[in-house]
Amino acid sequence: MEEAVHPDWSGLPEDLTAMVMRSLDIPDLFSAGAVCTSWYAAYSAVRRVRIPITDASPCLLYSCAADDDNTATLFSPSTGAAFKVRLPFLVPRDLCLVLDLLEQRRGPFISRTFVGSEYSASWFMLR
Amino acid sequence: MEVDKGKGEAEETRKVAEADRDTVTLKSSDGKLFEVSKEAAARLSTVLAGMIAGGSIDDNGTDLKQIGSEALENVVDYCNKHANSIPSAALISSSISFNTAPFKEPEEWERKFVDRLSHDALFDLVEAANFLGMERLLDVTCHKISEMMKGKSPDQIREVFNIKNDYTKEELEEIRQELAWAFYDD
Repeated sequence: MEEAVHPDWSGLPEDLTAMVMRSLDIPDLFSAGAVCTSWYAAYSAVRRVRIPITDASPCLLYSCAADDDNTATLFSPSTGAAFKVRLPFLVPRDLCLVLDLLEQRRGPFISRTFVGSEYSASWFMLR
Repeated sequence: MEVDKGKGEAEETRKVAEADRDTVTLKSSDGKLFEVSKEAAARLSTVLAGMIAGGSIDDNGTDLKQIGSEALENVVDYCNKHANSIPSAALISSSISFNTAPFKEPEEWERKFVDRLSHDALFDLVEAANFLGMERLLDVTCHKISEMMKGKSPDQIREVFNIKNDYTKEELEEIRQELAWAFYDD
């Protein structure tokens, strides 16, 4: 629906923005966090709950039959956290991979190189 | 003595009549009145349930100063529709939660209900639902908003939600590093 005037959604109270973000998977959650400073604050609160990985221990990346072709699951055995990630390419149906997270002080995320063509090439060779 | 007794009885009768009414009248910030099913209001809104139980419902219109007439109309519309709908199995059985509990799947009519709303109306409705403690309506509206974010780049989200990028250049560079995945389409 088109309107003449849109509300500025950065003015939504932080707890409501966080409530919306709670259902987002990766990378949608990251995209939403990158939108503006007030959404970043909401994102930070959500991330602590959704992705409580605080160390750089290896994670397990695997595919689930019920998910779509671009979605894999990342599981952190050291924290017990698991979440869905949508990748910009097809995920092999028999994917099961140990993955080292980047050692970043700021928090857990997965190397950009992982989603790049280079890594996906080596990934397929691993199979 | 007798007069007092009579007065007491009249008071009693009036209270009973009030309790018997199956709707409550709500008044928006701009003074418009709306009738809503008392049962549905009490079931769907913790705040209205508290007001009904505590007797702070005004027959001439309970003031809800935080809520504009358009949002209140949608709240009332939602409650009244809910009063007539039979919860489906999907609503009763909790959805499989994955790490966190995403929202319970909206019913088909709930989806249509929020789909027809303008951005302005949706914005006001999610705030009203929050104010009134309407968990189910919050789920439905938040689900709709999250659907509007999915599969989009930060730039596309800014466009849809009318948000200015207020990061400094330095901050943006940091964000780009931290949230690298959000930028893989760049």
